[in-house]
Amino acid sequence: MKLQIFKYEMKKIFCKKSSIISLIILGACLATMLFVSISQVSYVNVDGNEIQGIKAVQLLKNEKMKWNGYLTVETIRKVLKENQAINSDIKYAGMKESDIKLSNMEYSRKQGFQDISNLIDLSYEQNNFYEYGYIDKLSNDAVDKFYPNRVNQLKTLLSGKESDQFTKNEKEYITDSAKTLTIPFKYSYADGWNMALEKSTMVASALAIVICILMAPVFSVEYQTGSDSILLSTEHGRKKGIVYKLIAGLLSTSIVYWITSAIIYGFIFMIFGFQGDDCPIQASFAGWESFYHITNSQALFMILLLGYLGCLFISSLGMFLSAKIKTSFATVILLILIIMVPATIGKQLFAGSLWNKILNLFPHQMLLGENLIDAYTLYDILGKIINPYQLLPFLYGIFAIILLPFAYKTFQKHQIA
Amino acid sequence: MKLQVNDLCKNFKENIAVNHVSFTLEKGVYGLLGANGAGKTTLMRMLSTLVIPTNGTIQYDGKDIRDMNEKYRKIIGYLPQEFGYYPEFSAEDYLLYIAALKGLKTLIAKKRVNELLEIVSLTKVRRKKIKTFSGGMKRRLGIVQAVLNDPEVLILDEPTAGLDPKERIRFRTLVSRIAEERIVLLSTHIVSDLESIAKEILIMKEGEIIEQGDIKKLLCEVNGKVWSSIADLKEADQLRSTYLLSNEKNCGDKIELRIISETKPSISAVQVQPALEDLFIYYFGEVNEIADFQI
Repeated sequence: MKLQIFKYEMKKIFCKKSSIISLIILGACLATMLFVSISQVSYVNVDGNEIQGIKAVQLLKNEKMKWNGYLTVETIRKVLKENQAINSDIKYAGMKESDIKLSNMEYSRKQGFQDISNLIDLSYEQNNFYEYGYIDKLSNDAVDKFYPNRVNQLKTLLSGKESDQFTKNEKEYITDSAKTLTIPFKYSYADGWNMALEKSTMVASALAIVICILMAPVFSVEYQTGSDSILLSTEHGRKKGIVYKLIAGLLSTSIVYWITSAIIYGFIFMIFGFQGDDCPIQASFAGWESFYHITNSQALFMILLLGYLGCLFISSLGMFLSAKIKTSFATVILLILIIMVPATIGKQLFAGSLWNKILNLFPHQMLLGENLIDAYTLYDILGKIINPYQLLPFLYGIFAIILLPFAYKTFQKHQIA
Repeated sequence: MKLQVNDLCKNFKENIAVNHVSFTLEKGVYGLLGANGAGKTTLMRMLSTLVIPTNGTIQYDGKDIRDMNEKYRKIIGYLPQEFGYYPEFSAEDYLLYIAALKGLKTLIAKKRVNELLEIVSLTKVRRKKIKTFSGGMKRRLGIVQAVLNDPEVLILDEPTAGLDPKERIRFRTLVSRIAEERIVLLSTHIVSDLESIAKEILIMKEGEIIEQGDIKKLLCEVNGKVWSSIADLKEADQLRSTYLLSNEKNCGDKIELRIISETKPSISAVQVQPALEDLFIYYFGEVNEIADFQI
């Protein structure tokens, strides 16, 4: 009997036209995103011909894996020497900008160490200004500064114009974190992880919107169809019926979240491979500045868990609003506003103010994916520094738990006027 | 088996929907008759625990239904005036879902659903989505959900609205059959639905029960007050504007009028046996109402 109620509550959620359409659109958007991302991967062969798509992924992987190992000063020096050797090759002397073929042939010899080359560009950037190809200007004597540069850049950043965004404790925390980071970094081909982390924001945001659409009718469908009078006059309609509605809401959120994530990330890893899981996130272009001492696999795990908690919170909030507002459309709009408005408000508008700190507490933070890992978001609570992965699950876990009994009570006390 | 309503009131802000209503129902079919806005639906919703009374109590076998809570809801069946359903559900899914909410075990629920769908001739369309059903089919489905749990108290708000005459006959047969061992309270505008099956009728007006009793007793109220008169067009117009009319029909160039009046309305008028419809008009009708409707 209990299972029957639960089964039909699940059916109510998934059989609605809006749910089916939103899931189809979600699938189509994510499939397009993957297709575009994969088709943009490019490999240049020794003849200067460009290959794109899945074949390019494999060829590029073979090239990059030749450079797997620790990013010691020796490795940096080796990359620098190799780069200089290619640059000084007589074949490319006097190469014109219009000679694309020759330029491609030159690039084909560099693409294996392109990731490391990008990290060098990042490490030696001047005044927070990234210059692609800076490696070409770098002298051999400067290689020793590859790691110290990272700490110095942070110090410059924290004492510069952005210094008022952080408390003294936060600055210390970030600097200490940079200083205590284990070096040399382990480097490996990690395009799979990089791609997964890069797409995590879009995946989490798209899932959050779909969950808003799925959850909005959970209670409002009863009011809107007039089924509430029958449901609430049944033996279990005011207790178990509502409990199973809430469980179905949370379970359908979990199913949609984990199945979609498994398909998307599974597909990415199937194409790009799992290599690089144990490399620190700082050994990649996007994670270079991050203060988290975590590997790529740990980063994705943290992103997925936080995103999941974010979706569970949205689910609880959605069900509560659905019971309270009584129309699906208004619930969806309100939910999207709660998520999207704080995310779109320019943080620079409130730089250094309390508003900036408050914005960092809004639920959209849990859907930021890789962007949150790369951001210097910290909370200074009575002198104790807490990062979002420590605070937000606790905070929104409590909110989600509190909202469920409110949703329950709101529907239970509903009177048919 | 006794459902006792004691001094029941329901106010919606300034508006008094139900005003100090008291009655007792025992086994059998009870008809609740009243014009639109009389408070029938609010009363039925209170009996179904969907609306909390402002004042008064409802007791089932001496126990307050609010204290009984789900024990009371276990023994009631309710069909609202507006039957709400899930458009994407099939008839079978919908009934199995409601059966589960009513606490029926899956196997028993399936058997019961099969039986009832057969009775209301919906077996063939059991797997079709409810949104494809006609108004009558939806109504029949609504009746089935109300009786799924074999309720001791069955509350039916306008159950025959949208049913064709054949379906209404079938409905009356169904209600008569199931009413033997339970309390059935049904509200309707179609008084003929009550004539053959109602043990007692409660007449509700402006939130109050103004009359209660069996049909025979209630008809005594209009005994000697129902007249049939055959009139020409001019005379008919005059009668319409003077008396309460419960019916009229054309007979060639004349019109036969059924008039409710304390006194003989015309020389040609003859007294006729009152029917429930006459009683309804007696309480709720207005002079010139039919003429206004025709205009």
